[in-house]
Amino acid sequence: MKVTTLIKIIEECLLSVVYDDKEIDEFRYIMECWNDVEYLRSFYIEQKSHLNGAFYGNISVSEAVRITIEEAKELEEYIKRTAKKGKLDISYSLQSIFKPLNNNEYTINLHQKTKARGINKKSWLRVYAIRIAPNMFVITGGGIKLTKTMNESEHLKRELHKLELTKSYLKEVGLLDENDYQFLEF
Amino acid sequence: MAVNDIEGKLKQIVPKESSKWIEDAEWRSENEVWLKKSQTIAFKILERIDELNFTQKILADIMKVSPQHISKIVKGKENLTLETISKLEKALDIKLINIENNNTTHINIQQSINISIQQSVINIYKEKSNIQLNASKNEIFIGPIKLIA
Repeated sequence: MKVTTLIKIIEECLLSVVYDDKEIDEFRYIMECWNDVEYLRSFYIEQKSHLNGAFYGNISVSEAVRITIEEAKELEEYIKRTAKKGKLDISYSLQSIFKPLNNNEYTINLHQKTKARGINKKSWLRVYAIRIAPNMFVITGGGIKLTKTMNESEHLKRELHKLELTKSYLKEVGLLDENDYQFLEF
Repeated sequence: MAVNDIEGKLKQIVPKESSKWIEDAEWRSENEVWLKKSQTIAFKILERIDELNFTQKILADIMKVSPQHISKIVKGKENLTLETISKLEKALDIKLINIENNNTTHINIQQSINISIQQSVINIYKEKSNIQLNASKNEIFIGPIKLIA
Protein backbone atom coordinates (compact mmCIF):
# COMPACT_ATOMS: atom_id res chain seq x y z
CA MET A 1 0.00 0.00 0.00
CA LYS A 2 1.21 3.53 -0.75
CA VAL A 3 -0.09 7.09 -0.68
CA THR A 4 -1.51 8.17 -4.04
CA THR A 5 -2.38 11.74 -3.12
CA LEU A 6 -3.85 14.03 -0.49
CA ILE A 7 -7.30 15.53 -0.94
CA LYS A 8 -9.05 18.50 0.68
CA ILE A 9 -11.79 17.70 3.17
CA ILE A 10 -12.20 21.23 4.57
CA GLU A 11 -10.41 24.05 2.78
CA GLU A 12 -7.16 25.16 4.44
CA CYS A 13 -7.38 22.85 7.46
CA LEU A 14 -8.33 19.25 6.89
CA LEU A 15 -6.91 16.85 4.32
CA SER A 16 -7.34 13.13 3.79
CA VAL A 17 -5.08 10.53 2.24
CA VAL A 18 -5.99 8.52 -0.84
CA TYR A 19 -4.16 5.17 -0.85
CA ASP A 20 -3.61 3.08 -3.94
CA ASP A 21 -5.97 0.32 -2.71
CA LYS A 22 -9.10 2.51 -2.92
CA GLU A 23 -10.57 5.04 -5.31
CA ILE A 24 -11.87 7.36 -2.59
CA ASP A 25 -10.16 9.16 0.27
CA GLU A 26 -9.97 7.62 3.73
CA PHE A 27 -12.29 10.04 5.54
CA ARG A 28 -15.04 9.62 2.97
CA TYR A 29 -14.48 5.85 3.08
CA ILE A 30 -14.77 5.51 6.87
CA MET A 31 -17.87 7.68 6.97
CA GLU A 32 -19.39 5.50 4.23
CA CYS A 33 -18.56 2.37 6.23
CA TRP A 34 -19.96 3.85 9.45
CA ASN A 35 -23.26 4.49 7.67
CA ASP A 36 -23.43 1.11 5.94
CA VAL A 37 -25.71 -1.35 7.79
CA GLU A 38 -24.34 -4.40 5.97
CA TYR A 39 -20.71 -3.50 6.69
CA LEU A 40 -21.39 -2.67 10.35
CA ARG A 41 -23.46 -5.79 11.01
CA SER A 42 -20.73 -8.07 9.58
CA PHE A 43 -18.08 -6.19 11.55
CA TYR A 44 -19.89 -6.51 14.88
CA ILE A 45 -20.77 -10.17 14.33
CA GLU A 46 -17.06 -10.81 13.76
CA GLN A 47 -16.13 -8.73 16.82
CA LYS A 48 -18.90 -10.05 19.07
CA SER A 49 -16.51 -11.25 21.78
CA HIS A 50 -15.08 -7.73 22.14
CA LEU A 51 -18.52 -6.15 21.95
CA ASN A 52 -19.68 -8.27 24.88
CA GLY A 53 -16.50 -7.69 26.87
CA ALA A 54 -16.14 -6.00 30.23
CA PHE A 55 -15.79 -2.45 28.92
CA TYR A 56 -18.93 -2.17 26.84
CA GLY A 57 -21.13 -4.54 28.82
CA ASN A 58 -23.52 -6.55 26.73
CA ILE A 59 -24.48 -4.69 23.57
CA SER A 60 -26.43 -6.41 20.81
CA VAL A 61 -25.25 -6.23 17.21
CA SER A 62 -28.31 -4.23 16.21
CA GLU A 63 -27.72 -1.72 19.03
CA ALA A 64 -24.03 -1.43 18.08
CA VAL A 65 -25.00 -0.65 14.48
CA ARG A 66 -27.48 2.01 15.60
CA ILE A 67 -24.99 3.62 18.02
CA THR A 68 -22.25 3.70 15.36
CA ILE A 69 -24.41 5.45 12.75
CA GLU A 70 -25.54 8.04 15.30
CA GLU A 71 -22.03 8.68 16.63
CA ALA A 72 -20.53 8.90 13.15
CA LYS A 73 -22.97 11.67 12.32
CA GLU A 74 -22.13 13.54 15.53
CA LEU A 75 -18.40 13.13 14.96
CA GLU A 76 -18.39 14.36 11.36
CA GLU A 77 -20.44 17.40 12.34
CA TYR A 78 -18.15 18.09 15.31
CA ILE A 79 -15.03 17.92 13.14
CA LYS A 80 -16.60 20.18 10.49
CA ARG A 81 -17.73 22.74 13.09
CA THR A 82 -14.39 22.82 14.94
CA ALA A 83 -12.32 23.14 11.75
CA LYS A 84 -14.36 26.16 10.70
CA LYS A 85 -14.16 27.77 14.15
CA GLY A 86 -10.43 27.05 14.28
CA LYS A 87 -9.85 29.22 11.21
CA LEU A 88 -10.97 32.21 13.29
CA ASP A 89 -9.82 31.29 16.79
CA ILE A 90 -6.87 29.00 17.53
CA SER A 91 -8.36 27.86 20.86
CA TYR A 92 -11.11 26.09 18.89
CA SER A 93 -8.67 24.49 16.45
CA LEU A 94 -8.71 20.87 15.29
CA GLN A 95 -5.92 20.31 17.81
CA SER A 96 -8.63 20.36 20.48
CA ILE A 97 -10.16 17.24 18.89
CA PHE A 98 -7.13 15.39 17.52
CA LYS A 99 -5.12 14.26 20.55
CA PRO A 100 -1.75 12.45 20.56
CA LEU A 101 -2.16 8.79 19.61
CA ASN A 102 -0.29 7.69 22.69
CA ASN A 103 -2.26 8.60 25.82
CA ASN A 104 0.98 9.19 27.74
CA GLU A 105 2.26 11.76 25.25
CA TYR A 106 1.87 15.31 26.53
CA THR A 107 4.02 17.24 24.06
CA ILE A 108 3.47 18.26 20.46
CA ASN A 109 5.89 16.79 17.93
CA LEU A 110 6.55 17.30 14.26
CA HIS A 111 4.17 15.19 12.15
CA GLN A 112 2.62 13.81 15.30
CA LYS A 113 0.33 10.80 15.08
CA THR A 114 -3.07 11.71 16.50
CA LYS A 115 -6.58 10.39 17.03
CA ALA A 116 -10.01 11.94 17.32
CA ARG A 117 -12.71 9.99 19.13
CA GLY A 118 -16.48 10.03 19.12
CA ILE A 119 -18.11 12.61 21.34
CA ASN A 120 -19.60 10.17 23.85
CA LYS A 121 -17.30 9.13 26.67
CA LYS A 122 -17.40 5.45 25.77
CA SER A 123 -17.33 5.99 22.01
CA TRP A 124 -15.39 3.37 20.05
CA LEU A 125 -15.04 5.48 16.90
CA ARG A 126 -11.55 6.74 16.04
CA VAL A 127 -10.31 8.97 13.24
CA TYR A 128 -6.54 8.88 12.84
CA ALA A 129 -4.52 11.80 11.52
CA ILE A 130 -1.07 13.37 11.27
CA ARG A 131 -0.70 16.86 12.69
CA ILE A 132 0.74 19.59 10.45
CA ALA A 133 -0.32 22.69 12.46
CA PRO A 134 -2.83 23.48 15.24
CA ASN A 135 -5.65 23.65 12.71
CA MET A 136 -4.24 21.48 9.95
CA PHE A 137 -4.41 17.69 10.01
CA VAL A 138 -4.10 14.91 7.44
CA ILE A 139 -6.54 12.05 8.03
CA THR A 140 -4.91 8.66 7.49
CA GLY A 141 -7.90 6.43 8.27
CA GLY A 142 -10.21 5.39 11.04
CA GLY A 143 -11.55 2.44 12.92
CA ILE A 144 -13.87 1.02 15.53
CA LYS A 145 -11.78 0.39 18.63
CA LEU A 146 -13.25 -2.34 20.82
CA THR A 147 -9.95 -3.52 22.30
CA LYS A 148 -7.80 -1.80 24.91
CA THR A 149 -4.84 -1.37 22.57
CA MET A 150 -4.64 -1.03 18.79
CA ASN A 151 -2.20 -3.91 18.60
CA GLU A 152 -4.86 -6.36 19.84
CA SER A 153 -6.89 -5.98 16.68
CA GLU A 154 -5.89 -6.72 13.09
CA HIS A 155 -7.85 -3.87 11.52
CA LEU A 156 -6.34 -1.34 13.94
CA LYS A 157 -2.83 -2.66 13.28
CA ARG A 158 -3.46 -1.68 9.67
CA GLU A 159 -4.34 1.82 10.87
CA LEU A 160 -1.01 2.02 12.71
CA HIS A 161 0.73 1.07 9.49
CA LYS A 162 -1.20 3.76 7.57
CA LEU A 163 -0.21 6.40 10.12
CA GLU A 164 3.46 5.49 9.71
CA LEU A 165 3.16 5.38 5.92
CA THR A 166 1.57 8.83 5.78
CA LYS A 167 4.07 10.32 8.21
CA SER A 168 6.91 9.18 5.94
CA TYR A 169 5.09 10.57 2.88
CA LEU A 170 4.59 13.98 4.51
CA LYS A 171 8.28 14.12 5.46
CA GLU A 172 9.24 13.15 1.93
CA VAL A 173 7.12 15.88 0.28
CA GLY A 174 8.12 18.40 2.97
CA LEU A 175 4.65 19.31 4.15
CA LEU A 176 5.18 21.08 7.44
CA ASP A 177 4.46 24.50 8.88
CA GLU A 178 7.54 26.47 9.90
CA ASN A 179 5.35 28.87 11.88
CA ASP A 180 4.40 25.88 13.99
CA TYR A 181 7.92 25.46 15.40
CA GLN A 182 6.99 27.66 18.35
CA PHE A 183 4.55 24.94 19.50
CA LEU A 184 6.91 22.04 19.02
CA GLU A 185 9.05 20.36 21.61
CA PHE A 186 12.02 18.34 20.41
CA MET B 1 12.87 20.23 3.35
CA ALA B 2 10.89 22.79 5.35
CA VAL B 3 8.71 25.33 3.61
CA ASN B 4 7.78 28.81 4.73
CA ASP B 5 4.71 28.98 2.59
CA ILE B 6 2.53 26.01 3.52
CA GLU B 7 -0.27 27.17 1.23
CA GLY B 8 2.13 27.18 -1.71
CA LYS B 9 3.25 23.67 -0.83
CA LEU B 10 -0.34 22.48 -0.57
CA LYS B 11 -1.09 23.92 -4.02
CA GLN B 12 1.81 21.89 -5.39
CA ILE B 13 0.79 18.53 -3.96
CA VAL B 14 -2.99 18.69 -3.38
CA PRO B 15 -5.43 18.61 -6.33
CA LYS B 16 -7.92 21.48 -6.68
CA GLU B 17 -11.06 19.40 -6.30
CA SER B 18 -12.20 18.52 -2.78
CA SER B 19 -13.36 15.21 -1.38
CA LYS B 20 -16.98 14.31 -2.09
CA TRP B 21 -17.39 13.67 1.65
CA ILE B 22 -19.08 17.03 2.20
CA GLU B 23 -21.74 16.17 -0.41
CA ASP B 24 -22.25 12.75 1.18
CA ALA B 25 -22.60 14.33 4.64
CA GLU B 26 -25.11 16.89 3.41
CA TRP B 27 -27.12 14.17 1.65
CA ARG B 28 -27.17 12.05 4.83
CA SER B 29 -28.30 15.05 6.83
CA GLU B 30 -31.06 16.07 4.40
CA ASN B 31 -32.40 12.51 4.19
CA GLU B 32 -31.88 11.54 7.82
CA VAL B 33 -35.52 10.76 8.63
CA TRP B 34 -36.15 8.13 5.96
CA LEU B 35 -32.56 6.84 6.11
CA LYS B 36 -33.12 5.77 9.72
CA LYS B 37 -36.15 3.74 8.63
CA SER B 38 -34.25 2.29 5.68
CA GLN B 39 -31.41 1.24 8.02
CA THR B 40 -33.81 -0.51 10.41
CA ILE B 41 -35.39 -2.39 7.50
CA ALA B 42 -31.95 -3.27 6.09
CA PHE B 43 -30.94 -4.85 9.39
CA LYS B 44 -34.15 -6.93 9.51
CA ILE B 45 -33.57 -8.12 5.94
CA LEU B 46 -29.98 -9.16 6.65
CA GLU B 47 -31.05 -11.09 9.77
CA ARG B 48 -33.77 -12.86 7.79
CA ILE B 49 -31.43 -13.70 4.90
CA ASP B 50 -29.15 -15.44 7.42
CA GLU B 51 -32.07 -17.20 9.14
CA LEU B 52 -33.27 -18.63 5.83
CA ASN B 53 -29.73 -19.49 4.69
CA PHE B 54 -30.34 -17.27 1.69
CA THR B 55 -27.81 -15.14 -0.12
CA GLN B 56 -28.45 -11.68 -1.54
CA LYS B 57 -28.26 -13.29 -5.00
CA ILE B 58 -31.06 -15.74 -4.13
CA LEU B 59 -33.20 -12.88 -2.84
CA ALA B 60 -32.52 -10.89 -6.01
CA ASP B 61 -33.55 -13.89 -8.15
CA ILE B 62 -36.79 -14.42 -6.19
CA MET B 63 -37.68 -10.73 -6.46
CA LYS B 64 -36.55 -10.54 -10.09
CA VAL B 65 -34.33 -7.54 -9.39
CA SER B 66 -30.60 -7.02 -9.83
CA PRO B 67 -28.16 -8.06 -7.07
CA GLN B 68 -26.95 -4.43 -7.10
CA HIS B 69 -30.43 -3.30 -6.06
CA ILE B 70 -30.44 -5.73 -3.11
CA SER B 71 -26.93 -4.60 -2.17
CA LYS B 72 -28.12 -0.98 -1.97
CA ILE B 73 -31.15 -2.01 0.10
CA VAL B 74 -29.11 -3.93 2.70
CA LYS B 75 -26.71 -1.03 3.13
CA GLY B 76 -29.69 0.98 4.39
CA LYS B 77 -29.33 3.65 1.72
CA GLU B 78 -32.38 2.96 -0.41
CA ASN B 79 -35.55 5.06 -0.30
CA LEU B 80 -37.81 2.01 -0.49
CA THR B 81 -41.18 2.14 -2.22
CA LEU B 82 -44.21 0.34 -0.80
CA GLU B 83 -44.02 -1.97 -3.81
CA THR B 84 -40.42 -2.98 -3.01
CA ILE B 85 -41.23 -3.43 0.69
CA SER B 86 -44.18 -5.67 -0.23
CA LYS B 87 -41.99 -7.74 -2.58
CA LEU B 88 -39.34 -8.10 0.14
CA GLU B 89 -41.96 -9.13 2.70
CA LYS B 90 -43.30 -11.79 0.34
CA ALA B 91 -39.87 -13.12 -0.68
CA LEU B 92 -38.63 -13.32 2.91
CA ASP B 93 -41.96 -14.23 4.52
CA ILE B 94 -41.53 -11.46 7.09
CA LYS B 95 -43.29 -8.28 8.18
CA LEU B 96 -41.00 -5.30 7.61
CA ILE B 97 -43.39 -2.46 8.38
CA ASN B 98 -46.58 -2.46 10.36
CA ILE B 99 -49.51 -0.32 9.27
CA GLU B 100 -52.47 -0.76 11.57
CA ASN B 101 -55.98 -0.24 10.29
CA ASN B 102 -56.81 1.50 13.58
CA ASN B 103 -54.47 4.33 12.57
CA THR B 104 -56.47 4.94 9.41
CA THR B 105 -59.66 5.22 11.44
CA HIS B 106 -57.90 7.58 13.81
CA ILE B 107 -56.76 9.77 10.89
CA ASN B 108 -60.32 9.87 9.54
CA ILE B 109 -61.68 10.96 12.90
CA GLN B 110 -58.96 13.58 13.19
CA GLN B 111 -59.68 14.77 9.66
CA SER B 112 -63.39 15.04 10.49
CA ILE B 113 -62.58 17.08 13.60
CA ASN B 114 -60.31 19.36 11.56
CA ILE B 115 -62.94 19.80 8.86
CA SER B 116 -65.63 20.54 11.41
CA ILE B 117 -63.37 23.09 13.18
CA GLN B 118 -62.55 24.72 9.83
CA GLN B 119 -66.28 24.88 8.99
CA SER B 120 -67.04 26.49 12.36
CA VAL B 121 -64.32 29.09 11.80
CA ILE B 122 -65.70 29.85 8.35
CA ASN B 123 -69.21 30.18 9.78
CA ILE B 124 -67.98 32.63 12.43
CA TYR B 125 -66.18 34.64 9.74
CA LYS B 126 -69.28 34.62 7.54
CA GLU B 127 -71.33 35.97 10.41
CA LYS B 128 -68.82 38.53 11.62
CA SER B 129 -67.31 39.77 8.36
CA ASN B 130 -68.07 40.28 4.75
CA ILE B 131 -66.67 36.91 3.58
CA GLN B 132 -68.74 35.13 0.94
CA LEU B 133 -68.16 31.60 -0.26
CA ASN B 134 -69.00 30.20 -3.67
CA ALA B 135 -68.23 26.52 -3.12
CA SER B 136 -69.20 25.38 -6.62
CA LYS B 137 -66.53 27.61 -8.18
CA ASN B 138 -64.01 27.27 -5.30
CA GLU B 139 -64.13 31.03 -4.85
CA ILE B 140 -63.95 33.09 -1.67
CA PHE B 141 -64.81 36.80 -1.61
CA ILE B 142 -63.42 38.99 1.17
CA GLY B 143 -65.05 42.30 0.47
CA PRO B 144 -64.03 43.20 -3.10
CA ILE B 145 -61.13 40.66 -3.19
CA LYS B 146 -61.71 37.33 -4.92
CA LEU B 147 -59.62 34.30 -3.87
CA ILE B 148 -59.68 31.16 -5.99
CA ALA B 149 -58.82 27.93 -4.20
